[in-house]
Amino acid sequence: MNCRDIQDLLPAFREDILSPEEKRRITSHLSSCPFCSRSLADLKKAADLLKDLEEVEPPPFFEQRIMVQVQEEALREKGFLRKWFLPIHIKIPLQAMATVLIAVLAVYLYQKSEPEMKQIPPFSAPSSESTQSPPVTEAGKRPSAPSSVISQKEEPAERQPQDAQRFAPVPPQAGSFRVDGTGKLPGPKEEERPSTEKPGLPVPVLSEQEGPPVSLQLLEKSQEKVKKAKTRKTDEASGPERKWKGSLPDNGIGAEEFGGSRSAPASSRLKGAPLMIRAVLELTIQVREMTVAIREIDEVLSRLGARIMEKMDREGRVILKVELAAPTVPPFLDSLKGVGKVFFETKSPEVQEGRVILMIHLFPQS
Amino acid sequence: MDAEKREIEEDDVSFVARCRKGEAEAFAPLVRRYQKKMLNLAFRMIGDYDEACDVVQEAFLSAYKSIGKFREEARFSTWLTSIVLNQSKSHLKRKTAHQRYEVASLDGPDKSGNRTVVPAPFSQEESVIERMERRELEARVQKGLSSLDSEQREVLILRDIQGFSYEAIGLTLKLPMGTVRSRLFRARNALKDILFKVNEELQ
Repeated sequence: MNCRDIQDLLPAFREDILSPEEKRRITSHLSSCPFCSRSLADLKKAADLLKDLEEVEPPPFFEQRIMVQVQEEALREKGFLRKWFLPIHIKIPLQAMATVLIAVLAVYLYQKSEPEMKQIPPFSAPSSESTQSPPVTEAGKRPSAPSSVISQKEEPAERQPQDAQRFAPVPPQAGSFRVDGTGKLPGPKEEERPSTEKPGLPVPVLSEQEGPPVSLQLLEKSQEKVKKAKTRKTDEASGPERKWKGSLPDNGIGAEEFGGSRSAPASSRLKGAPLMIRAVLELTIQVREMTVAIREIDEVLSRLGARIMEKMDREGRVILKVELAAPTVPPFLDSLKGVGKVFFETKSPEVQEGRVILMIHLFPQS
Repeated sequence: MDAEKREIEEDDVSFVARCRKGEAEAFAPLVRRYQKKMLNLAFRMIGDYDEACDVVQEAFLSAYKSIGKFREEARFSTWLTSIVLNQSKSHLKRKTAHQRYEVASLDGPDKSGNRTVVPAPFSQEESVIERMERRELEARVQKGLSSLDSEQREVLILRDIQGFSYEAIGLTLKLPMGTVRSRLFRARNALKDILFKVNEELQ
């Protein structure tokens, strides 16, 4: 064993992990070799030097410096998260909400515009205009059409006969017109009523044929309109078409329209008119005391889950607008008998579903 | 002592857990606890105080960033130590490459001269009491350390300066104990040879 070998073993020798044989050999070498003894001493010295190395102290605010960086990193991570992940929690619902909103808006707009878009179908029912043409009513009716919309529609009607057929009667408007009409012009209405009842007679038959329940009043109105349009435009072809059934084969275009839209008018009207008004019923009640009668009617209505929608005072009379579910109409009419003497202006419609509007004219007994 | 150590370890684990949940503040106690040890480790590895500070800062930051990768079986201190060592070594590599480039430049000042250790005879008789001398001595030891290759140096620092157990060193450096030991012995001999000039002729 030369000094180099011995020196390689000296660290292990110092740690006392050598075999007794090696230890003995090294010990004997060290006793005779000053160089290796010196090496052993140097090893110890070096180890001591290392051990005695003074520890350096961290610079002031070292922790804070590090933590500033760490916090920045944390913020960056959070920012990253916020930018890419958190938004998903917010964005997706936001986008979903926006989508729903757009969808709702679209449906709303569509539904709103639907009545106009589907103007064509409703006229098939009214096209029974040709079934009656009592010229008597025309003169009185013309001025009683207050709706500007209707009058606008009448203009093209005058120019084009076929279009007139299509556009002239506007059932949803006719309904409102009726309300307005009664409100604005109660006098003429009352006078007309008897006469309009006659043309109204075939209507229930028609509605039975057609399937969808048709408002008597609407039909009346539409008839009036069509009459106006027809008579003005001098449509000769429509002249002979007295009967509904007869008109189908005669008028090719009309027949197509009728056939194609037979179910459409009712359904479209149901969709278009949110209240699904199936009929308008007018009645007059002779009452002893106006306020008492109104209260009684209101009570009856509230029992049936309805209420007075509109109350119009007209020269001592009161007109109540009431909307009822069709099945509750008969009981309501029954209970009205307790209020006063009831005169039916229009025939009670045989409507099983939907809503019925009742215009109740109250006048004092006096 | 063992109980205290265990307590610290449990403490570390809880702080680490909080950091993982995004509580950056929970990292502060860990920094406070280990900053000095890590700085000394880096300083002995690098030999430059300011650079060591930068490296330790980087190491802490990188530890925080990768705290999710920290496996709970390991000790946080062991894990952190290995990060500091790796950062120190890569810093030295960058620095060496940079210096080599600068040395190649004829106009640049020759910085490499400072780094070559010239082992001077060291006599025990010389006073180590005086502060200046002590500083010089320490500088020489540091130079000696720096002239070792980094693998030997890290073992030597961990064992003889920081007092790690062989087992802890093995865990930190992911080396078997035998390798740690033999590397340490070679390192000790090498440092001794550097510090106390060996007379080759005295064979």
